[in-house]
Amino acid sequence: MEVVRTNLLAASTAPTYHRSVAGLDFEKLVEEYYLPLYRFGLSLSRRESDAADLTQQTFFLWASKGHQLRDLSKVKTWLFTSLYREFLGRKRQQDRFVETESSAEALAAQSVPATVVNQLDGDIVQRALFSLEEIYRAPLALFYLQQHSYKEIAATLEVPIGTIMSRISRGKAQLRKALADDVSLMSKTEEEQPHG
Amino acid sequence: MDEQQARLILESYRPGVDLEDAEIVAALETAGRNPESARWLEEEQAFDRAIGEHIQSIPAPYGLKTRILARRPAPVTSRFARLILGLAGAVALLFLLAQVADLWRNRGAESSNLLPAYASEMVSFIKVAPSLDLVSPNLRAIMGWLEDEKAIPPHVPVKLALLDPVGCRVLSFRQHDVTLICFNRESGKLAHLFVVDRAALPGLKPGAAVVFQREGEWMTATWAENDQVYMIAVQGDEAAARRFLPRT
Repeated sequence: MEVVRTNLLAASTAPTYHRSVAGLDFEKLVEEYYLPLYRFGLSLSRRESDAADLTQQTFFLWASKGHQLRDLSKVKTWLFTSLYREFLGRKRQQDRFVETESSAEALAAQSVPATVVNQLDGDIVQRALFSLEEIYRAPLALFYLQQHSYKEIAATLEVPIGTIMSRISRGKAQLRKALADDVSLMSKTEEEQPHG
Repeated sequence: MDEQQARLILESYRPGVDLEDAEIVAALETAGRNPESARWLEEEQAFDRAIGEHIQSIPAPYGLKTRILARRPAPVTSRFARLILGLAGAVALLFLLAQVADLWRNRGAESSNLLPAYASEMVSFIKVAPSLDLVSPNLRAIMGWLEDEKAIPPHVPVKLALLDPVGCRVLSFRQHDVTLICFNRESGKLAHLFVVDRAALPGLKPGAAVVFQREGEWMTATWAENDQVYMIAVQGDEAAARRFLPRT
């Protein structure tokens, strides 16, 4: 796992920057990226089986077409962009629903302290992320996976940097609201439970 | 840069992940001048860390990596690489031809070596409660899912089909897909059916005797049927495995 990371980092500064990727070890690449790709796929599709399928398809595409990529430093972006395009392609076939950006007014800032988030069950956080509109969910998932800089997130999702910053900001506001709603609901449920 | 602009930029900033370019540095300086903004930034980054830890701990389905590696298509290579591979292949072919007679003589021994490895590997998957690709108490649903996945469709032995299924999963053995279906049996125990293409275990011939093999507390019973090799694995002795065989 470390070997690939070292190679990729070295490739971004060394003279071999534009070396062909044909020799890149497939198994090491899978080891390095299958988990973050699966998590990204899950945040997009919200279904484990679809996420697993998207991840498999991404590596299938890499094995079939990855040799065409000449810049070794672009492997990570290539993989995440391919998964995202695959997801969008499948989604287009399923529906024609167009999501619009929420107005700032609709996303009044709600406070959920980090200490509260730390104590929350992972499923609640996952559910809150899944509840976001897709245009916020995709950049926010990449943001929290911490595999990409915000500039790389913009490149992966093929949108301008300013748009990504704005979507991360609004996505966080939506996430806070969803978490606050969940926390509030949990408090009410606890209060309503009979004591004894 | 005013504080509102600085906050928008810093909401996308993660120390150690994003490079501190001129814009980030300017935003950090702006936020640092105001204690309220500094507190906001501290809380913002703590929130990001907490969410990030949750998102980064989502597990992948068990066996996903194995399936990705097993279904890798043959890589497309350049013309030069194909030439080199062709030459290497020709040399390898000559070497293989020289070995054919020995391999032919030893083919029985080869299969008998593969079967223990197969039984051992498959039992290792079920020693702990296996994570399944599909959990369903409906055998028809399981067969439908396997068909969709282009997995090997097994002929489930009648005595197993009478049990309640738990679910199924696709495993891999030496580049061959293996279909696993799990069934509930008495006392909360499970019975497992593995099916693989006979090319994975070429020495097993249809009509030959069932091969029993012990793997710790597990007993496996293996036989060939048409183009497939079937293996039942249960906790118990040979009689426990024999109960589910299609012919006893």
